[in-house]
Amino acid sequence: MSVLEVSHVSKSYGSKSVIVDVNLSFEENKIYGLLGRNGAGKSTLLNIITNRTFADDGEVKIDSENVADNDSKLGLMYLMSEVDLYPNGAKLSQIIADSELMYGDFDHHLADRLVDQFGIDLSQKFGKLSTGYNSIFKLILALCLPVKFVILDEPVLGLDANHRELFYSELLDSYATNPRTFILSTHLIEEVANIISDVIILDQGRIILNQPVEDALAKTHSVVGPRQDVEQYTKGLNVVGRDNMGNIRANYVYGDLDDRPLPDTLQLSNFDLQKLFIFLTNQYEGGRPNEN
Amino acid sequence: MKTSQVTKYLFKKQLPLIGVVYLTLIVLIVVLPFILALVSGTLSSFSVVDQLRSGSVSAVFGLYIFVISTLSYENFKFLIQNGISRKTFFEAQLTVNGLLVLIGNTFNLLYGYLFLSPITNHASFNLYTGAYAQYFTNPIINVALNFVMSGLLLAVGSLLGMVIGNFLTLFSKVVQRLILIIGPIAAGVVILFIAKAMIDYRFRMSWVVNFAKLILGYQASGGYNPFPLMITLLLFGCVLALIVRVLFARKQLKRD
Repeated sequence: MSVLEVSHVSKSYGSKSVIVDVNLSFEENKIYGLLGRNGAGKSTLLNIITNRTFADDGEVKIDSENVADNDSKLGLMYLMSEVDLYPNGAKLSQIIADSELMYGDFDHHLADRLVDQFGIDLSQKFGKLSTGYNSIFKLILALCLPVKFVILDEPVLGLDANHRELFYSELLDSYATNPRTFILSTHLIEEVANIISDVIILDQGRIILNQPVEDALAKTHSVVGPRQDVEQYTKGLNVVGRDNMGNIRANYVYGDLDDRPLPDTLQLSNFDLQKLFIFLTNQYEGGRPNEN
Repeated sequence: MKTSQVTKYLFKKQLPLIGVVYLTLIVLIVVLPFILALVSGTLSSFSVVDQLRSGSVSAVFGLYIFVISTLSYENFKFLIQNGISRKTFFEAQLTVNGLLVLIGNTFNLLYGYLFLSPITNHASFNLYTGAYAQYFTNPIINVALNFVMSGLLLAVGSLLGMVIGNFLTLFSKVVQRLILIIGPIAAGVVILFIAKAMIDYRFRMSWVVNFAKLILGYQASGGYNPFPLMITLLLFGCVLALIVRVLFARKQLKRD
């Protein structure tokens, strides 16, 4: 069983700390969602994990072996990112052949099917691709290369709704056929909420949440009712956000409710991952909890 | 280690460029002057032999291997995307440059000895034939030593290109441009300063001259011994290779 471990990784650019003492563990055959606001440090973290850039401190290991300058471990990962690292003048078919040479294998059967479904022409040059087809081509590579850790940084950038839908469906299909670890870094939380098994929220270079989605959502509670009753009920709880609708108040709690009795005037339910993300990232930003 | 795969990838990518270089050389040395002579009506005074004599194939190949060695960031991007370590890239790039030097050097010497030398009445065509060919009288030894010395010169040129290219890749594009502008200006100023010092203050350069004589293998009899230069090139090449290894280990994706 392969485990990707990130231990005490920190990175600064000048005086700005981008990643601060990050510790993570990615287990085999899970789909992780790495969520964070713009500039949270997601791409930097993924670049450090794949040894594209160096951390100031800490290390990244796969199966207890450092990945730095280690072909056998680096070859277990593929990072699809917004940044283009392929030669612009190379034909897509040539890039596939060269990538196969480096990784030692390539699922041509799946690639042919995806090429057909997405309608991409492999005789085109990489530099001539539109943003959407650029993403599609890199996604095809990501799904067809023989790696244990498929890391996708903003995978649906430039894709229309139909292609996004097709990609998510193919990703799940590929995962079912060939289980491996996926790390999805994205802003489109609602789209991946039903796909990911674990959620990691990165905010200002720090991990503020790292849990199975199910566990995280089980701790979300929206308490709705008359303002006074809501305030009374949620007193002492971890209220991460608030909504006002006239006299009706909704307080969003993240954490246990400690078995306190629920008054008849209040309604209790869970809220979704996107709301949790917004509340947590606003809260840890140093500002006041979200209040509309 | 995936050195063989990376070597194959880099070699396949860089080998066709040798053909392009030699074709360009033929065009520049023979075809273009021929067309110019034809157009200007001076075809009667045009001589292919003279053209070939004046064009140094070895120097052009040296320039090619130097320039191609400076370019490494594009390959680094592709290789790091495909899970290849810097160490493997370094080893493969060194192997590929070595192979290119071997191919180019072999072609240059075959061209020199079998084609150029006979048609130019055994005129010198590279450093060895110009300065060191008299040290040994045995032609086989001379050819062998010429091969080694020319190869070492090309290898050092390649390593120098790798040092410069990989040093520049450590910086952002803006800093790279600044270095490329300020570097030659600074070098020019230093050279002017030294030249002025030599003229104005009769700066004693005897140790420099003696050192140069030692490296070049100058002998009191007026001839040159090829071995000091070959040993110097070998040592210099080893130092450069170590510097290149350090620079490769520091490569990372740029933010710009």
